[in-house]
Amino acid sequence: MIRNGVAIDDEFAEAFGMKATRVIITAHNPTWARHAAEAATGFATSVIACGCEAGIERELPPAETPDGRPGIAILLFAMSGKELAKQLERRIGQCVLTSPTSAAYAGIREGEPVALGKNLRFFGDGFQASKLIEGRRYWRIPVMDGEFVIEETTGVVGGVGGGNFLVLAATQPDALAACEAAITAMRRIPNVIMPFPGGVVRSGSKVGSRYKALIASTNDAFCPTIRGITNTALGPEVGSVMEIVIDGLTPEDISAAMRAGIDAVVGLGSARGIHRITAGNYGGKLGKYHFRLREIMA
Amino acid sequence: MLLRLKGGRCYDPAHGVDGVVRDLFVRDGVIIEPPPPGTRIEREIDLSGRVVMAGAIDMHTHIGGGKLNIARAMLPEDHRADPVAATAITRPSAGRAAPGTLATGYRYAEMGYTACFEPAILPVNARQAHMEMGDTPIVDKGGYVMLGSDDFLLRLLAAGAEQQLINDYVAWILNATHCIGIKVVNPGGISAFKFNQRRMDLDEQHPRYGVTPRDILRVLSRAVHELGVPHPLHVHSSNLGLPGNVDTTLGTIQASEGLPIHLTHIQFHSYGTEGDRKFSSAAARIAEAINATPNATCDVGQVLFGQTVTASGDSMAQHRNSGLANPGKFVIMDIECDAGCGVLPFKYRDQNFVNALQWAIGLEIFLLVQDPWRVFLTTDHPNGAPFTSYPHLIRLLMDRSFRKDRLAAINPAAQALTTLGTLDREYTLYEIAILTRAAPARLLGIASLGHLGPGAAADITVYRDDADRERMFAAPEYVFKDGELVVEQGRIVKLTWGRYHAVRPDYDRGIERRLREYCERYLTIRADHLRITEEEMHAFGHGAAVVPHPCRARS
Amino acid sequence: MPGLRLTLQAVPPERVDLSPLTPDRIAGRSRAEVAALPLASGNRSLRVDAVFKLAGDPGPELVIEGDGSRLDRIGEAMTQGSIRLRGNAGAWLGVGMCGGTIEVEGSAGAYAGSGMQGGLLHVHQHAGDFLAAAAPGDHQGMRGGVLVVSGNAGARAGDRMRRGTLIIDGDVGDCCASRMVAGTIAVGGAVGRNAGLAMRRGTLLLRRPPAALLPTFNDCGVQVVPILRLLARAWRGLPGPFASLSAGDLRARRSMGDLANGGRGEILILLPD
Repeated sequence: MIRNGVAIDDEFAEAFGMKATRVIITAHNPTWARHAAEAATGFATSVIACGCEAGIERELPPAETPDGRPGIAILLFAMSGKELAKQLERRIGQCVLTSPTSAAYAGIREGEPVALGKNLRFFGDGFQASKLIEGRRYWRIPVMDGEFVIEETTGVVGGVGGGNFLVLAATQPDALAACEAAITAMRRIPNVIMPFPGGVVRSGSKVGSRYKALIASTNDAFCPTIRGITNTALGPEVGSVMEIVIDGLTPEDISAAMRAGIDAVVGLGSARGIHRITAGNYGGKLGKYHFRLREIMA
Repeated sequence: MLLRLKGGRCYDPAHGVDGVVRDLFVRDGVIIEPPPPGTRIEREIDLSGRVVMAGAIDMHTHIGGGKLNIARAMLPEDHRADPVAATAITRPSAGRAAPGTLATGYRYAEMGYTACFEPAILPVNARQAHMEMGDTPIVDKGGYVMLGSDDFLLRLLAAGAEQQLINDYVAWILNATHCIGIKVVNPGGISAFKFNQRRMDLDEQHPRYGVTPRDILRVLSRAVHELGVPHPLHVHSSNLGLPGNVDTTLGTIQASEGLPIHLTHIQFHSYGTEGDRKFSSAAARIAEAINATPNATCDVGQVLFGQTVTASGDSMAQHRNSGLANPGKFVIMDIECDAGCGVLPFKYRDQNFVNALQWAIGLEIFLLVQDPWRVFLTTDHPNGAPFTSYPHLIRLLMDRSFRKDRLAAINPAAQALTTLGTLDREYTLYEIAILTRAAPARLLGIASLGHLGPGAAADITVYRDDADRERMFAAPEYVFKDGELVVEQGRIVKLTWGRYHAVRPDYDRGIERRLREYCERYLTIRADHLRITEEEMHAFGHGAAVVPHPCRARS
Repeated sequence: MPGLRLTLQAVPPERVDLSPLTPDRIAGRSRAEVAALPLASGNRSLRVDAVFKLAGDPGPELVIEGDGSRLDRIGEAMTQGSIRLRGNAGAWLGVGMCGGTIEVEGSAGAYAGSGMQGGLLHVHQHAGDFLAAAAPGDHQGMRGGVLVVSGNAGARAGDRMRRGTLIIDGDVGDCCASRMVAGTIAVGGAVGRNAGLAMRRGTLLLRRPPAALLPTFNDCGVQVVPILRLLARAWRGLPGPFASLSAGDLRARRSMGDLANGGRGEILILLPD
């Protein structure tokens, strides 16, 4: 399959079942909502070492937030509900409770309830108070700038982590420009996050390593600087490869995001140095979900 | 008027009659010998296919006295939730766990009960108790007057008084309060509670008087015996509700030293300390002791699940349990120098380990005590359950598969600790008639109640035979009280007021001077006012007579 | 909406217990069956058609016309449907109500909304004493739902209230929010003496400062109260002026008490925007 001069491989992205939740963070203005949201989703690129994968889903205008203030929706993904609860408590406790003017609300009502403010309330040292409004309990925790309002629980649902595609371009600037265009398009898609810095990852990995202590190592088949001495997957025209990883609430959300991203890349075309799109997998045996590039782009 | 009840299947254990079809003849409120042929029968009711028993007797039910009024005042929700509407002949009333006096009488009668005995009348509260009982329609009533923590008696014991003096005091109290027996509640313990003691074992000395519960039991059971009061000392043992209290209970049986003793709501006194939770059934040990001790009788005080209220003179036990009140409100009260009381609402839950095991322990006792003449059917109304749940309890006793189904539904940890599932005994109608009719009348020494022989008061209950014993016993087809048809098809059709039953043992009048001086000095009421006159009793009871039953003094 | 219409024939000589007549309890019955239902009145029992003229057939809506000041326990424990009174209601209006709506075009007697657990109860005119309060012997008053009184309410409004929203647009009598356990009470008019007496937790929101606060309430100053944003949004669509409470930052003078009973309750006196 070739689109606008870009070859789309007959490959699939292999993704995994995860546990996910959404939290809405509001603040006095969008800047402070973003400060809190960025901190809460910081250092959350991969479950391997971060405990969870998290990111900003989108900004919310005042009309869309529970308290009518500017807000940001963040999504968090973890391998288990228990780990998600742990990460949620740490991140909201350290990054949102602490952030001036902030408030935090459930962004998902369905699914299993997991503690949001349920345990953080004890920070109030007995001065905390709750309010049940339209069937939902909110905690009011006195803090130095006033009152921190946080909903008692948020819902945990099943999610999908590890949707991805790789952009193979002539030069590093070409690959970066294409990925930036893709991320801009993908951020318009609801229910997904791209957890890596700026949404893009350049250190794709393979399973295993020559060093016993490591379970994964650099994906040498896609590293241009060693193509002469490895079993390379790159043609001579490819000078740089970057990857976009997607976590989403449903497989459909991931498909939609991949389609939007690949469309944006393809839109630039071979004229802007884009040669190929492929996807990462482990042979299809590890992940429950397979996203075939050619089906998505059909 | 001569009434003939024709062809009913009679269960009259007092005369060994087990399901024999026969006619009953009633004249002037009394069952008579079959009249000679040709006598004019004014009224005849065909009872063929029906089960006929004497009116049932509840020998331990809290239906009057101060603590019930506290319960009523404390539980308006009980009354709101359960109104009894007026009919053409009955007045409105209310309440299930702490029903009003009218509802109490109506509902007992509707279940075929015709006599109720209030087990905890304090001398200073006796007037109030009789007023309430007098206002309880249809059923006969009587009371046990409560001694054993009263300052007067404890002073006598502390001073080493002679038994004769104690006998005089006990007899004077029985006469003054128009009661039929003596009850002792947590002997000495209620008094010890006032001296900041929170537990009292059988051989523990009272902190002020130096006497032990065992001393009190011995002296009182001897007094009851020597005065010839038919009803043995009615004992609510020490350590009610405490795990491991089985030893206290077994000790209490010994404390009567061979004299008759009645252990009341024994279920609450049959707890061991085995198992992970240190709470277990000691029903087998208790039943074994009862089986082996012919002078001992017991009533069970069965727990049944649901909301009720516990009302007890045992302020020590009630204070201990006050944290368990549900809903969370309770009253612990000191009552002059006589005793105390505690009232706290309680909800027995089948998924609660302790409650479920209590339920099982009660049933184990019913099934393991071999002689039905020595175990009585009570829930200690309202402490274990309201009396309106008796039909359910009867079904549990008579219907093994029903009982096993219920057992399967209770707390699993409790199921694992009870042998109830292995007990296959099913009570027969004859045995139920013993438990609820013949035996209580005999134990109380009331010759006119609890049987269907000539000379008996014509208190007769007629049931439709029904395999569902709960339905059968909940709504008898006919209930006669003193020969009058008072309940028909489960509805009150005539209002009567029953009578009081009492004993009047003799005593040496010398005790009166001592009591006058004592009351003058320590009580809020004079000895002469403690004494209730017969005129007062008539007035309380809508003209009810006080029937004295004979005492045969032994000394 | 289809439903039964009951028109009071005359003001009954004694109080009548109307609890059997809720839309959910008469659902599936014919008009004739409803007409024959017994209603307790004093120590007597009256047929429905001895008290009311009936029109229409039982459905989700029940309309009662006439001066119902002696009709007690209207809508008791109802779970769904609606009752509209074109007149007054007696005591215990909506007691233990769990769902549905009750609308009273006139006034309601004592204990309206007592033990209410859900649904919407709206009294267009006034309510008597013990609005949303605990029944004697009960530990909890209102436990959920929304109760709006467009006029005034008597003493002890919200006594032992546990949860839910009570809005009184007019004035309220003495001891408002007494022994309150939790929940929210909003008062548009004047509030009587001893507001918040023995209040444990919960919110009493006032538009007008009371003449005096109990000495066991301590001033916590003027604050922006963020939770009011959530409340204001939840109240949109309710009858009365609290529905148009600004959804922006609301400032209020906050006092906490009753310090004689834990002191975690709050009285918020709204400041003008």
